[in-house]
Amino acid sequence: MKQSLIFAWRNLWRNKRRTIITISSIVFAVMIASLMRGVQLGSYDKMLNDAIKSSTGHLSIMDKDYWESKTLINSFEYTDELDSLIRSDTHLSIRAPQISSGCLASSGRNTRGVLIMGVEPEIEDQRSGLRSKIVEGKYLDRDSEGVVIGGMLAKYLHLKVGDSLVVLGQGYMGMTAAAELEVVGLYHHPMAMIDKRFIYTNLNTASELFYMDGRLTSVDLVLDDYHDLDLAMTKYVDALDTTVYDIRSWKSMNKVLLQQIESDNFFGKIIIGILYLVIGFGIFGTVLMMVMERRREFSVMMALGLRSSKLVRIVLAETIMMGIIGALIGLALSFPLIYYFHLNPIPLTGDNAEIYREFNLEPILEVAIKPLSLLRQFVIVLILSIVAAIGPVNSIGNFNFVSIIRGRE
Amino acid sequence: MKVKFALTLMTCFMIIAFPNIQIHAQTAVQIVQKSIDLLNGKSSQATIQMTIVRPKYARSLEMKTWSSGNDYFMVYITSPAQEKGQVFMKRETDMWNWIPKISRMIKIPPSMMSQSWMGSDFTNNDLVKVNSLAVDYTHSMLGEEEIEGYDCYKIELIPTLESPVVWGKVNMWISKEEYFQMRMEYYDEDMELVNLMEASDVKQFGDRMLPSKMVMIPVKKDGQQTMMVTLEQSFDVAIDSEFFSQQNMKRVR
Amino acid sequence: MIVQLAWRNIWRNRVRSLSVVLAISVGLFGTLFVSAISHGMINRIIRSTIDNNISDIQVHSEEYVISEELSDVFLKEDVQPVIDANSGVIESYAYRVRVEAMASSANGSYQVTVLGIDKEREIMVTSIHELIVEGEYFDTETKLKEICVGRKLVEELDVRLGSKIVLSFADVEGNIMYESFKITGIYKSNHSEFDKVTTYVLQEDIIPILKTGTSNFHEAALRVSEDHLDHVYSNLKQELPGFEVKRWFEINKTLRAMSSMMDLSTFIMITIVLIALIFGVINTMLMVVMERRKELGMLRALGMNNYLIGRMIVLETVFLSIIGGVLGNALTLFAVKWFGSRGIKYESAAEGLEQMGMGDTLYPELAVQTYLAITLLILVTALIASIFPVRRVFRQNIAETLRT
Repeated sequence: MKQSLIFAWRNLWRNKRRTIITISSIVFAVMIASLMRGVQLGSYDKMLNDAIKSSTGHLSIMDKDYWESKTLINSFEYTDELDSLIRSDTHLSIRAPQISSGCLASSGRNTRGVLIMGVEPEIEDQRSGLRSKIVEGKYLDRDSEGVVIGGMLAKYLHLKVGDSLVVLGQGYMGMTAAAELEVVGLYHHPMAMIDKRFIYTNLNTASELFYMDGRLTSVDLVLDDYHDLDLAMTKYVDALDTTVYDIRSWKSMNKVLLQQIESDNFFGKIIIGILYLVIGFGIFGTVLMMVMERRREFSVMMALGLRSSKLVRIVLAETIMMGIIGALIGLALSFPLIYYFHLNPIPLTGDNAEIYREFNLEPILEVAIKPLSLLRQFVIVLILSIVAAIGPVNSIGNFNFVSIIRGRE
Repeated sequence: MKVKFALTLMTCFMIIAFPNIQIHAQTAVQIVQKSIDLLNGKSSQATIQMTIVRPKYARSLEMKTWSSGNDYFMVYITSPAQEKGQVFMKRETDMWNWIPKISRMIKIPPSMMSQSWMGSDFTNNDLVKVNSLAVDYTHSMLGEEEIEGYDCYKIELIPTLESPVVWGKVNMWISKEEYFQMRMEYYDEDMELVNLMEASDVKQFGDRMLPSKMVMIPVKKDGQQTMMVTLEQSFDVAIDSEFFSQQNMKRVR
Repeated sequence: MIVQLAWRNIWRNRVRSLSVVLAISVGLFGTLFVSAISHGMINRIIRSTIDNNISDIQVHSEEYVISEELSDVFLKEDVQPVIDANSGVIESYAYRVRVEAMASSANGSYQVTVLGIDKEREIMVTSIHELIVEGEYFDTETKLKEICVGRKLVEELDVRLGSKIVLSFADVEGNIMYESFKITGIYKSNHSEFDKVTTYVLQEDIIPILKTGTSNFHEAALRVSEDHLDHVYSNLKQELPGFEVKRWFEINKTLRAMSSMMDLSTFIMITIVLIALIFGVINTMLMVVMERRKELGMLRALGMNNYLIGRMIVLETVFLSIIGGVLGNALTLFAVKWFGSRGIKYESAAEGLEQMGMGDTLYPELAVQTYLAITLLILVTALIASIFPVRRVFRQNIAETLRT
């Protein structure tokens, strides 16, 4: 056994060119698969971070009944303890207290059902880039009591910047909430649903309007690293009284996003499956030709008494060794490759860039560094190479070595 | 002579054998109409206390109301302080809301008509469609039952084919002598009970007796109900039609 | 003569040819199928949105677009002549009235959009009647006014087929109207958000209540084939001043965005698969050349010059590429047809996709141009990939090869 291995090893280096060619096809395979997966995972990361950041946050703290019935009666008190608990969390990148409630908006001429979002302006801007979406007038600031509304809503209500908007609804404990608020700015949001319905105002303004007196409908938390999700969940569930509070992860709040990611994953898996197919056949072709090229060499060996089965094992050993070397080199080279693209993401241009920006995503193609994924590519391509090589190598057994030596084949 | 005797005999026989005939001389729809007319009169003025009960809180409002026939109705909220001064007015099928806090007059849009009024278990629709029970349904007598010590007719109301009513069926218990609406059950089209109204505490109001307390219970929602207690009411007062106007909404006290 | 030699060479060594053909055809299949899947996905959304919802072109009065007020109708007689003038290229059209209403049942209420349609014309413009899952597309024997709603709305209101619901809305004078309708048809499209809010009633039932007038409508929806789209669009724009004419991608900008983003990711995927292909082919070809060292050396010794040998190899590659191309295309056609009719089902992601309008199955599809474009690309790539090994031939030492 050991002798065969040494023999196999020596064979490899006897014809460097051939070996290098075969190994390089495996190296490239690993690198390409890693790159593809890196791009795919990069885009999921982007979604998991950016989309979640601007919609629900990774975690949200709310009253235990709020999710089932999103009315103001199911709001909670934002106590000092809760505040210090959240502020002491070093894994958070954004802490967003909110009051949100549906009500009627009227301009006198027309009335429409809207959603009032009471937020802290700077924090909201961090989450959704709202400030940069302002097209007329100005953005909210800490002291203003006005609102910013979507362009489509403004059109429907025939409002301009500086006009007044009447909001009418029900506050905490059913008290009539009514106020006349100044439209300080108009924003443009690519999602019509938001542009037509969302009215943003200061947290304090919303609090007064709805008689909230220190209560909130939710506090959304955005993590620095979404991998900390489970840790963070556990931490808050342990620290807070779950008979009073409900701590939800984005997965249960944003099922659509979760499923979009899953379907993208599914789609991505199909694509990478196809990639493996292409790679597999590339390696198959290479190994097949390698075997063909060495016909004479093998035939001589068999003529000299080497049993074909043993020969097959030796060549198989060669292939496996080349596979391992190739995959290892590929893996090693993948790291700098991925790292380079991670630091220098491919910028998007033109229409695509516009679209990304509208959805508050940076217009770049992100590549994710995931050592585990690279390792996985290493293993898969290695196995793929070996499997692809089996066919050609086995065909050695069928060589008519006499004819080959004689030069007739 | 013979004929006259025969007729008299037959009538006596009919009265003895079928005492209920007398009742059917008054149709179910007439009974329902009478109960509605009793509640509203030609016009009325009242002071009402409404208590809204929810699982997490309860709150009370006091208001003054004016009505004229089935088409005109005005409510002025007198308490609590945060709500005081709000006025609601119905003219035919339109409803208006005056909010002094922001000096605005709002016409309630269709989308709000099925929303709750002032956070109670009554909808804006309920306030507006006062005579619906008489005109949008076919009525049939189911029998008699006692409610709160009063003998009542039990009447079943089935919406007519085209009437814009969401209920599958409504049952009403109307007291035989006084035509009080003592109890109402609202069913959806699968005949599941959705809303229950119970009246009690009959008192004298002006020229008539009426239940002073009415509780509306949305059966499928735990711990919720709205109670209306009439503190004062007078009927057939003179209110001219100009009273029910947007200008007056801003002036009324 | 070289051509003949090249051709014979291919058939002489089947195994060798097979390797190259396989590398090329599988690579081709790979890139084509990736394309097919992404196209299938996006086309499905676009097509179903156009079919069910927005059509190819919509016409509204300018005021309506801004204010969406019930009274901003246009006269049929203003629009019909223009449509007639373009009747050669407009495939079908339908007029609609549109009103926002509250739909109520005993157990709930929901804000919906009511479309008053022309029963016969509407099905020429949208495929709503194909989406009916329960009941019928109007024409039932009921005395009540009929309404066709989406299954999501049925769930929202907790009702069923045959239920009566009440619609409340303001008529053109601002009076609040309440009308009861019987649910005689329930449809289900790929897009659950659409199903929740879109309801259909007959024009003859709703126009008298709205009091907007029998020849007045809010919108005209047109179906136009893709080739004529821009042409019709500019005609209409010219001949209908005071009207707003929009094409589907202007009506629904998100679709266009999705389409672009999909194109981008397809492009990236194809590039990566292409790179894999190139390496596969290069390596295979390198091996081929190495394997034929002796043979090539012999040819050289016999007097064939480098140039001719190079040409021969290139020609062989061309032939192999063509065969590979044909095989790859055939494979793709088969796979697209097979999966195209069955579809590839997503398991758990269905609900989210339905909210986006994608339905729960993936149907690959591919346009003829894409087949041609990508095949050409692959063939050129294979050719370029073979040049590399050809140059190696020129560097070989004759004596060395003969010695083996």
